[in-house]
Amino acid sequence: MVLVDLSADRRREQSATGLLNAAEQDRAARLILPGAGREFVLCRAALRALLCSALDCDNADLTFRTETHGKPYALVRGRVAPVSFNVSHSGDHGLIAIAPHGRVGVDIETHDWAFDLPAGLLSVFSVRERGDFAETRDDARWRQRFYRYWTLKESLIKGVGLGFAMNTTRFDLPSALRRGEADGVFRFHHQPTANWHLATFGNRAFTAAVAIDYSGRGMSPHESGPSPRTHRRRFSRLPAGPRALGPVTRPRVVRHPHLTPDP
Amino acid sequence: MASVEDRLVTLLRDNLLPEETEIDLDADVSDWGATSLSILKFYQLLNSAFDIEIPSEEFCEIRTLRGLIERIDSELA
Repeated sequence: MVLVDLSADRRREQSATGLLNAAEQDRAARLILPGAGREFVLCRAALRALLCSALDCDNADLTFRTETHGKPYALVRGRVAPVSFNVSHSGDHGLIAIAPHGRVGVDIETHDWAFDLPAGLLSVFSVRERGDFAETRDDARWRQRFYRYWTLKESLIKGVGLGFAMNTTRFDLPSALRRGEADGVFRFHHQPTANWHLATFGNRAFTAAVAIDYSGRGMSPHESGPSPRTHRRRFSRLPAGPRALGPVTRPRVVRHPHLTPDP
Repeated sequence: MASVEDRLVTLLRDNLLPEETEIDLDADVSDWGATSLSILKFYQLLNSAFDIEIPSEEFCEIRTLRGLIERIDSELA
C-alpha cells in the first residue's frame, strides 16, 4: 500500500497531468468540486507510476476500464493486466493498494471535525453496529468510530466491486475490529470461502482501511494474509513525458511478494 | 410550489456543489468529484427533504440529475 500526498503543488500537478492520457485529462477538467481535479490527477499519476513499475510496462501502454459498478481495472496494450488494485482519496490524502492477485479494496477519509456527521448517517450500518454507537457518548470517540466503521465497510464493498449497490446494513464488521483491534477476518454469509482480511490504520489526520481477499488463489481459511504495509510517497518528481518512467522517477515500490506480479 | 428540479438544485447548491456551479441535468454525477461520505450525506438530505425513501442500492445506480428527478417524481406520484 502506498499513501500519496495530494496537497496542492502546481508543479507537481503539471508533471502528474503529463502522465495522464487524453481521456483522463478530460475527466480531471470536468470535475466540479474544489480540489477534486487535483486529487484525481495526482492519484491517477501515482497509480500509473506504481502499475508501470509492478507490471514492467510503459505508461503509454497502460489504460483503464471499469467494471459494471465502477471498479477500475488495468490493461496493458489492450490486455487485462495480472494485477489487482484499488484507490481512494480524500482531501490531501490518497491511498493505493496493489496486489498480484485476489481482490482488494481501500478507503481513506480525511478527518474533518467541522463536517457535520448527523446520526442519520448510521443508517448505512447494521443494527449491531448502530448499537455500538449508542454506547459511545463522547463526540470525538463517536467520530473516530464512525470513520473506522465507514472506511472498513467501504473498503469491503469496493473490494467486492459492487460499491453501494451492496446493502451495507446486512453484514456486521468482525467483532474484533468493532472492539478496536486493528485487523480481522470477514466472511460474507453467501460466500463463506472468501476470506476478507480487513485492517484499519490512520493518524490524527485520516482514517483508512484495506480489505484483501486472496481466497481465489486457494488459501485455506486458516492461512493468514500478509500484513498490509504502507509507504508514504509524495511523487514530487513525476516525469513530464507520458513514457518517461526512468529509474530516477520510478517509485521505489517495496517488492515484497504481494507487490510483485506473477511471471 | 417549486418544481422537483428547482428544489433539487437548491438542495445541491446549499449542501454539496459550489453556489456558482452550472447545473447540467444530463452530466454524469461522478463528474462532481464528490466523496462517498458527501454523497451519503446528500442522499440522507434528499430523502428527508422530499420525504421519500429511495433505497441506497438504487440511488447509487442513478447517473444523472435528470434520472434522479425522474426517480423522485415516481416516488412522489
